[in-house]
Amino acid sequence: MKRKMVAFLLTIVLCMSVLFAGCVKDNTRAGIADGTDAMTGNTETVRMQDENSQAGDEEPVKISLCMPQTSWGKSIDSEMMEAFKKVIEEKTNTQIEMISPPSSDYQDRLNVLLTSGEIPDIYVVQSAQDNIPLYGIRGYAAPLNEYLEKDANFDVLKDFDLSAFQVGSELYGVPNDRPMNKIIWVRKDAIDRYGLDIQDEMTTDEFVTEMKKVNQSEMIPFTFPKFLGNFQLFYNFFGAYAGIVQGEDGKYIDGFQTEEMKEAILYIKDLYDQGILDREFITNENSMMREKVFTGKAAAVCDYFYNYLYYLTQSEGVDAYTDFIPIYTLEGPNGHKGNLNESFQNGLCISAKSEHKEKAMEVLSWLFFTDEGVLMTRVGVEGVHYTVENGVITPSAAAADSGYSINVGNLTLAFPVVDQLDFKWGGITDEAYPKQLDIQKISQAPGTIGPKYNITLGVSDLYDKNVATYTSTMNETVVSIVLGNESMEDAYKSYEGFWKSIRGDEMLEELNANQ
Amino acid sequence: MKLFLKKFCRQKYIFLLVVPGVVWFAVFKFFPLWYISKAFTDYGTTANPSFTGLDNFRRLVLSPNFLRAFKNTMILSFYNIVIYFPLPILLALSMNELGKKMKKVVQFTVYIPYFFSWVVVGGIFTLMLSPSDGIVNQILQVFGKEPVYFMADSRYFRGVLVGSQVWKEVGYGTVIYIAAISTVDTQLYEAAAVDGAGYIARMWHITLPCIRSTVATVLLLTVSRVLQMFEQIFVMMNDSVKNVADVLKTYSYFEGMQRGDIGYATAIGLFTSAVSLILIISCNIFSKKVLKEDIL
Amino acid sequence: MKLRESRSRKVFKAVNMIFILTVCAMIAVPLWMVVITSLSPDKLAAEKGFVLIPEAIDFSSYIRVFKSHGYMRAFLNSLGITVTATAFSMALTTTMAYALSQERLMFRSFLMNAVLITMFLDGGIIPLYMVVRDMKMIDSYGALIFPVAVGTYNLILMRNYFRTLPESLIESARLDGCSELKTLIRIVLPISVPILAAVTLFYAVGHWNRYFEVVMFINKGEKYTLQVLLRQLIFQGESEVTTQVAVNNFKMAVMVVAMLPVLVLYPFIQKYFISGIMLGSVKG
Repeated sequence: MKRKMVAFLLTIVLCMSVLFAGCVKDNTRAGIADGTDAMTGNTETVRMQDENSQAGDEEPVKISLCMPQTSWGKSIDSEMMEAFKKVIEEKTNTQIEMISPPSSDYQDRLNVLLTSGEIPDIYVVQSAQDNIPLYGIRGYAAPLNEYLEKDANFDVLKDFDLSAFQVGSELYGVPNDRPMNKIIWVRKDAIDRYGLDIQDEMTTDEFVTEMKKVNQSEMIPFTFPKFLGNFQLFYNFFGAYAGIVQGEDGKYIDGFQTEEMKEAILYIKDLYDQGILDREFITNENSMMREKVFTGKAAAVCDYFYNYLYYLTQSEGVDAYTDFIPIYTLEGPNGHKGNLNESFQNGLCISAKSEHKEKAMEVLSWLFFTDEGVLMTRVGVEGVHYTVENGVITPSAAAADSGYSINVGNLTLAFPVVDQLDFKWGGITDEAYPKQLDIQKISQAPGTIGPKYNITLGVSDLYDKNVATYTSTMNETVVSIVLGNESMEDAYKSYEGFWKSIRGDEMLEELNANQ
Repeated sequence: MKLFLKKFCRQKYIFLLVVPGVVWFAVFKFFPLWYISKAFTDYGTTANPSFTGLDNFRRLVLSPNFLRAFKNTMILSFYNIVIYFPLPILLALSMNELGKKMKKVVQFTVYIPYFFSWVVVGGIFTLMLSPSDGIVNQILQVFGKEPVYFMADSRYFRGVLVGSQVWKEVGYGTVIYIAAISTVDTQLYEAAAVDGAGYIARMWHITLPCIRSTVATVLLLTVSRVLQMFEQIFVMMNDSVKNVADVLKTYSYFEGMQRGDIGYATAIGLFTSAVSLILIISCNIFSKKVLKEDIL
Repeated sequence: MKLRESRSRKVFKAVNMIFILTVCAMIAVPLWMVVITSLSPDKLAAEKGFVLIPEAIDFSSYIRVFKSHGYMRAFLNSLGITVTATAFSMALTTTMAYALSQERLMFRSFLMNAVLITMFLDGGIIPLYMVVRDMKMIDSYGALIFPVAVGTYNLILMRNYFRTLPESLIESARLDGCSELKTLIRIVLPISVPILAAVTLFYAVGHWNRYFEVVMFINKGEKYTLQVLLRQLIFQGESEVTTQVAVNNFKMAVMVVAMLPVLVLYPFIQKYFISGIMLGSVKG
């Protein structure tokens, strides 16, 4: 009896798998989708019918669009993402092929798509400043100059320096968000409890004195993310820059091997040794760091200017509500200032191999550079993601259960300034919204915002090959000094060894020669 | 020829059994191997890739980061084989001596961590080892020791890696051995009991020799797997321990997936394969000589 | 004489017990903390991070997980894929392992060597992606079943087990006129239950915990598995599936939910390890 059962089961499995394999080869996606409709409530078939009925005078163009999962209307619910997609299709007369990798693995998936030759027509690029010029050189991204001139939606970009996305005169991508920068946030309840004297701008020494007042057994004075590029915040106060920079005489130097840099590192080490800097910053994922702040485990943090509303609402959510006070910049002993300038983080590219570049650009323009498109990408589709009740925006029940949240700070990052809204945000947001806009203005004012230098690719072969290793070695050196694993001298000695191994001096010469 | 055909006809059914698997291997394992040729090109970094010969390999041996990754891989592999490999055998043997109910419970407990993915294990270990409120450091403080920041200290981090590996996967090995031990003929035990052999003698003279081939297989699998360590290190590593934890796989991921230097990353992969091959062959020689088992 | 023996036996038993209990404690304490933290109220979890001693029990984070449409769909996806993929994997692995274990198979050593090559030589994800794409499997559940069907380790494990079976048993079955498949199913599989159970478990856990291939081969959120969401939750933090703040208790609750099916499955499979032992004793 038992044996018969086993035999039977095995046969069924084999038959099924053969059939299954057959399906895959013959009917491609549809075959699989049919079999699994019941499991997931696939709406593909419904959509296809819709399209057939509405296909009017012009055949919709097929465009593949690759964005992180959360960019599709701030919700990962499949029906809502479909609704989002459908609006794009209607507005631009296209048929969108959706590629939505989860944000944590987005870059991996994109790299596989690019290198395997299946480049999406439109795709979002993370760490855009580093990647877009590379994609241009590697033939993944199309030059966009002519399209930008034709379309008035892109005029807003004229106020910004896009040289980071250029190789020669060709512009290979456009930014998705306005420039971003990080400032220092301090919890108001910590200020009151410990009597801190927090100013918009204060000196590095004052910062140490004030933060020392925080009782370290109750609260972490100042928490920080594990990403060491953020140390540039402190380097700014000492006039140092972690990277290849032009010195005063216009010649390129290694910013890491300067006295200013050593001074800055010593300051960070001092913060760490005194317990002001979170002892566990090196294992802080962004999520963990933010959690420490809004739950009241940490008093201050280095984070984006646009997270004001985020911190307010999140701290309210865990019963630790308080106001958050920004410190726009500190001032070092020699008068250097500047918060952490991250410039453009996300960018948008058009495939160099796309057959419909013009149409793709049209979709891109509508989705990211019109009021209508921006409101949809950053707030959602009315009637699906939210409804307006008594003039106040309210997430729909389905949206609320599927990860949708209204992040107003995000809207302020879009290029079109959406100030004409026919609804109110509700809660604490309406009151705080103007303040958020002020913080954006002040933190990005010249003199307050720190520097961001770029070296164009294609100038020095040595630089192009070694820049990534160079950056990661700098980070490792800094962290081993700050955590006290190595003395300053030893760490710099091994750094110099590394500098020789990548032929650093030759690299500088190459850069100087081709300037 | 005729003989060959005759032989073939006689065993066509067993051939039918092996065909689906062979097709699978051909499509999903062998066909993708053509990509290895990219190791000899500058693929990924330019729009028009060209053949560069051994250039990538020259870069490889000159790069200090590669040498560091290689060194770390070998050290971690060594730790894994010496510390992680024998533990499941020990555990399975001593579990075999337990009562039936107890055995079930223990087996269940030991196996649970294997169900976690590395992301989860990484998160748990970070919390457990936290210097401010982690339980391990609280215990250390009870004994009057200074708290240690295990996740960021290059002296301890390899220990953390091996420890988490043991914690997560000891149950996996144990299950294999328990399955093997369960096939040992109980007559042998009875005979031994009549001869008055103790527990340890029984383990040493009956159980171990009987599961010898399983031990040899698992050893080979462990050896071939240690060089492929990736996810664990990827989720647990941070900049302050990179110098002791960056291994070949993480290094090639960094160069290939993150920087897009496919040619170079493939070269690293090919190098890893070569080392792996050497390890596997020497492991087989070892098991032939010592365990008298030829696995390959 | 007798006294000494029983004393050494006692000592042995005690040492053995201590060893086992230590191992169990080291494994169980973190697990305990995960469960307790997942059952803590938001505020406590936020303050403590990781809770050892329960101060208050609160199921709210579990309710949140089970109420969330996204997590539940991902959960069902994971379940469906795991069951199908494991069945397919087992069918493919068993047949191939059996054939490779038989001396009479032609080209046996050639095939075996070919399999072994894949243990260290690997084309990487990009060519595999191209194969899957050319088979039109991108964004289908098939991509999570076929390309990952056979694990070389499991195959070798099984084949080596089959090799230890007495040759005479199979030979006599064949002389009785059993076909190959019949021999495999009627004679070989019933006496291989322990290893079948073990490998099934390995495959099931492997498929259940898979995330990299999911991220690579699947385009749309509706087909994502629980592991993908879990990973996002840990790295990204701002839970993308619930509006509420994701503090530790919620993360731990998702971790526990992500383990549930395998936990439920395990005792069921464990029975077959025991049955393997029974089989041995009946034979004796």
